[in-house]
Parts: sequence; structure tokens; C-alpha cells
Amino acid sequence: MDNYAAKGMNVSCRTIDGEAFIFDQETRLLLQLDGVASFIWDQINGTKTIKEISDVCCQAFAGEAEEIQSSVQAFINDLEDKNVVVLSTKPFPEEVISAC
Amino acid sequence: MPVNNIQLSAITALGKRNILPSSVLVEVCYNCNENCVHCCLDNHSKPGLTLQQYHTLFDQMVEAGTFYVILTGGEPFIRPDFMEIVVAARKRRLSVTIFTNATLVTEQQITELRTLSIDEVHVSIYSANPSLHDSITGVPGSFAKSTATIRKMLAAGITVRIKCPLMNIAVNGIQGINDLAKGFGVNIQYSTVITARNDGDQHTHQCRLTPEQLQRVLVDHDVIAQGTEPIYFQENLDCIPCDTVFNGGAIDPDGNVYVCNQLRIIGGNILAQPLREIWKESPEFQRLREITLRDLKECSHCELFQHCTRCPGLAYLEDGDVLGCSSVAKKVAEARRRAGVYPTEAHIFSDPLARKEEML
Repeated sequence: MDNYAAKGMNVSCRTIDGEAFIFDQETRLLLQLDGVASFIWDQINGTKTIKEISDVCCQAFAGEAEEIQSSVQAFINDLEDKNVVVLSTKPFPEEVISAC
Repeated sequence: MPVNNIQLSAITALGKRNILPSSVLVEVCYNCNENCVHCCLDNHSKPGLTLQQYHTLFDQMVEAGTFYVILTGGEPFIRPDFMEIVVAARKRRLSVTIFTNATLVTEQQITELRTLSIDEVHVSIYSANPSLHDSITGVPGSFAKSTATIRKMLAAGITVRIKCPLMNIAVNGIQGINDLAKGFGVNIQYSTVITARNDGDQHTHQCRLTPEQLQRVLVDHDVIAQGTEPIYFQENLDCIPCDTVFNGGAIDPDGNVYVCNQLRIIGGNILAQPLREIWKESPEFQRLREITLRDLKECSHCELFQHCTRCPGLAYLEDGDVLGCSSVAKKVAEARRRAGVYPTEAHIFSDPLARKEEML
């Protein structure tokens, strides 16, 4: 939960009718996110930790905080497995943050 | 939270369903250091938009739903600020492919392109015979420069593809081009049609393959894959002549917007109106999107239909009617029929919008 999350440098995202479509140039994979997942995706900016992203989600959505935190963690881990999100124990450099 | 994996081809379906310019070709200038005999440009003196205007254009593309951008010319590397244009596109996470003759690219630029994670660089090679290639470009030494750059790009880890429009004076050397590409370890993309110039001048047609050469090429599966069975039948009169009117896009060096660089009908100019608005609301583009096979009176009754890959842009440019027969498509279709082959699914009339939606 203390890791910082940033969008991968070879990933492009377009929001269409409220849903995010993420395209990974390297794997040629197109991912479709629903509204909640798109909200979390928007929070991934290289400056927030997963815990901080979870906190924002707890304020935005109704539900048990623990359950939301667990869902956010699982979701971001899934994105990391798909190589569209990178995690770091330290804040990301400016060029990564500005590209998020 | 579902994360649905979708095949890459769904980007085009997504663009079609939502009417998004998902893949846009940007001509950053018409200026060129080569003088190719078959060139489709009617002048080489358009320097393109300013760097700042390209920043604005790429912002508009992101807003409009663009994923891919193809940067081409003229020769894009003739612009001193071309790398800054590439950086501007990549900064917005647009996937970038570059079409170039590769004669002006410096080693420093190759390093930068690798760092920027460019998708692909497509290099035009017309023959594996250096003197024949140079006679087509009009520039002695161009083959040596282009191929040297390909080697350097590959060594740097950049994905390169050779583009080869087939011409009557070079078609006998196809094996040489195949061997060249194999030696590099790169894919090669042949095309069989030399188009008229953008102003309709057809003197470039003198470079086209003869009917016999065309037929020979069409049966060679190492050149262009052909089908052995027809894809669609004439009863599907609702099918769409070309998806590009929904999910393509092209911008010329003055900022004019087209559905495709082949179909020279202007929908608007990005200096006056955002791309998203032009793409969705241009009356010209909306009229093009309403066209179905039903409207192509000659096609729907043509005995060559199952062999044909008619391009609406070429029908308009070369024959003057976006709804009419394309004379060059007809010639290729006749050659296919003689050869007993059919177009592949990749280049034939596509499903109506409703059926495409079901793919997502």
C-alpha cells in the first residue's frame, strides 16, 4: 500500500462515454475499464501511493474502507501484471509524473 | 472491477462504433529531398504547421480519441523541428509510426527515436538494385543512405518495415527486395497501385504494373496474401465501402482534415475548429458515412465485385465519382479473377455498423 503508482510510458488512455480504454503499445493489448476502474485509473499519477488512492476512493464511493482498499490494491496489482502500471517505493521523477 | 482485454483490432471497431479518428495520418510537410517518379504529391513546397500548432493538434487528437498517429511528408525529417514534433506526440502518449525515406536521419535522432519508444518506422525502398532505386528517387546515393539508416535503426532496437510500391520497371526484382528484407529481418509491405497525384494528374500511371505483371504478382503469396474464396456476397447491400470514414483521419500540411489522405474531400481545418467537432459534425464526412454498397450502383451489379478492393478515394480522385467505379480497382479485380484469387478480409467492404458493434 505504500508503493507509488504511475502509468506505463508506453500506455495511452482515452475516455469514451465515461469508460477508459487503455492501449499498451508494446503488447498491443487494449483494456476496457468500467466507470469505477476508470476513476481509479485517473488517480494513478506518479505522486500518490496506493494507500492514498484508496483513501480517495473511500471518500468517493460507499462501502467498507477495508474492502475498498483491498479492491484498489487488487486492481492496481492486476494492471501491474499487465505492464500498464509501474510501482515504486519512491516518488517517480518529474518526466514520469508529467506524462501521467 | 472488470478489466476486459480486447484484441488490438477492436481499436478500429471502437473507433467505428463511436466515430473516433482512432488512427490519424499527419503530413507534416510536402517538402522532400527526393523526387520520386511515382510521387502522389502535386507540389513540394508546403512547409507544414508550426511546432506550436502541432502541440495543439495532438491535444485535439487526445480529446477526439486518437490512439495512433502516422507522421509522414513529403519527407518529415527535412523539418529541422521534426524530432520536437515526435516528442510532442509521444508526450501525449500517442502511438507514433513514421513514414520516411530515411536518407536524412542522424545517429542522434535514431537514439532519440529509440528512447521515445516509437512504434515503427516505415522506410520506402523501391528496388534492391541501388542504381534502379536511385533512378526512381532521382537522387544518386539514396539507396545507400536509406539502407544504412535501416541498419542503424535496427541496431538501436527500432522496429523497421520496408514499404515498396510495385512499379513496372522494378517488379522483376521482387526477389531481391524479399532477400533484402530477409537479410535485415524486417517485414515488407508491397502495394500494387500507383495512384494519381493529389491534383488528379495521372502521369504517375506510367509507373503502374502491366496487367500481366499484376497477375503474376497476385498469385505470388510471398508478395501480397490473397484469398482463395470470396468473403462477402452481393446480397449484403448494407455493407460499408470503407471503415476509414468512421475511424481514420488525415491532416495535410495546412491543417485541413480528410477522412483519409486518399479521399481528398476536406471536412474542416484544425486551425479553425477542433478535430473532434470536424470529425463528428462535418456535413461532408457525414454524407460519406451514409454511403453503403446499395449506393454504388455499378458495384452492386458488377461481376467483378467479389474480386474487387475498390477504394472510394481513388474512385473520386481518378474517376471523379465517390460513388462510381474505380478504374484501377477494376483492373486489379480483373487480374484477380484471371488469377483465380480473392481479396482477403483485411481489404474488402466491411460490416454495417450494427454488426460491428456486436464485436465489443
